[in-house]
This record gives sequence, structure tokens and C-alpha cells, in this order.
Amino acid sequence: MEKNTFLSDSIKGKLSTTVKWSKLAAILTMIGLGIEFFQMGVAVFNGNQNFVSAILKFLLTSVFSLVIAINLFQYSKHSKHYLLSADSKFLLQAFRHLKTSFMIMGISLIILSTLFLLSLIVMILHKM
Amino acid sequence: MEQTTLDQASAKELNVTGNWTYFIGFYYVFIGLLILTTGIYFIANKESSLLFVNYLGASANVIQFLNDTNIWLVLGLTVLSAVVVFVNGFCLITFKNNEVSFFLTEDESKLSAAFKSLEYYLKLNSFFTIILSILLPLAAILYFSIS
Repeated sequence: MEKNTFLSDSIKGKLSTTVKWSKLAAILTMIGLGIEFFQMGVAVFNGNQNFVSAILKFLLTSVFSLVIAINLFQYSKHSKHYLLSADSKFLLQAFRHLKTSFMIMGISLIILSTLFLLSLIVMILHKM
Repeated sequence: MEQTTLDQASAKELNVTGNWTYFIGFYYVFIGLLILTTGIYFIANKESSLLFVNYLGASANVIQFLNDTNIWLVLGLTVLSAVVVFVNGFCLITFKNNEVSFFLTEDESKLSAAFKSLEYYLKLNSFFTIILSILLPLAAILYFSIS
């Protein structure tokens, strides 16, 4: 695309819907993390899980989710500002946060899959 | 509403977002296939699957739990999980495809469709976050009350 494109009301309507849903998804992810943290606390308190391993496991998964949720929330906030002010710098910020959100998701999938495969290989080698 | 534009810097960011959603979308499709294959293998070869799980060092409680679980429940959960992951992946791939079509043709309806796919993906994610946030603590309470 070499020139700027005018955004119709229909596109802005769709963007507005993604604003609502991305905000909800971000808030729910944060609540989910809170519940997960509470569960971890209960498991450690009951002695079902080792404190250090529980913290490490929680940090490994929750840091990625938290960064994704924050970026989705920022996408929602900046898109809303863009729709209200029509200032394209807000749209740039919004898409930047959306990109970061999916980028972190992709990188976390690569890291977690690699760790899973490595642990599976180590487990099998350890049993041999 | 005022007349607004999609400038080139924003379009570039949207394009990179599309590349990541494409990768994640195909990853989800792969994971969906893996879930389906593993589930079907478990149902077809329960004994050898349990031996493998035992070989990996799973506790006796886990082996017992897997052995006692109804085969139709396993099949249902496997298919449901695979479908959810497939649909998520499909939404992300569609987002990228529509976005590429928009950049090539400058047809506004394609950008609209791309945002629609993103909306479906976010809706699905929100829905399943709610479901998991309710189900996981319930499962934990059930597990601890039984054990």
C-alpha cells in the first residue's frame, strides 16, 4: 500500500467492536491470572506443591499472559482514543500494541514448546 | 464521525501483526491435530498409552484416574479441545488472509472482514477464559476433596 487509505464508518464500527472485546479479553486474562495465583497459593499452603517450583511455573506462564493482556488493553485504549479524536498517531500506537501482543504470544509458544520437547527428551533419556 | 485514514506506518504495523497471527494460526491448527491424534491414539491403544505415561514417571493416582476415565468422555473432550483450537487458528489465519487481500486490492470490505475475524478470535478467547476460570478451580477443589 503506497498511499493512505480512508477508513469508512463500517471499518470504524468493526474496530470499535474489537476495542470492546480486546478490553474484555485483557481484563478476563488478568482475573484468570489472579485465580491461578490463588490456586497456586492454596496448593503450596496445603503442601501439594513445592514453593519454588510453583513460583517458577507460575512466573513462566503468567509473565507472558500478563504482557499479552497489558498490550491488548493498551490496544483497546489507543483505538478508543483514535475513534474519538481521529488522530492517526493513536491508531499507530494501537496497532503497535496489537502487534506486540501477538508477537509475545508467538514467542511464548515457541519457548514453551521448546521447553516441553526438551523436558520430554530429558525424561525419556533419564529413563533409558 | 470524522474522516480518518490508515497511514503507511499503521499499515506496516498491521502487516507485521498479520505475520504473527499467521504463524500462531498455523501453530494452533498443528496443536489441534496433535490433540486429536493423541486422543484417538489413547482411545485405540489405552493399555500402551498408560504404559507410556507410567514410563514417563506419572504417579499411580494419575494412572488410576486415566484408567477409570470413561472413553467417551475422553473422546468428547479431545474433539471439543481440538475444535476450539482449530477455530482459534482459523480466525487468525482468516485475519491475515483478509488483511493481505486488503493491501493488494484496497477493498475496504476485506479490512472489515479482517477486523471481524479478530473480533471472533477475541470473543472465543474471552468465552474460554471465563469457562476455564470457572472449571479449573472447580476441578482443583474436586481433586483435593477426593484425594
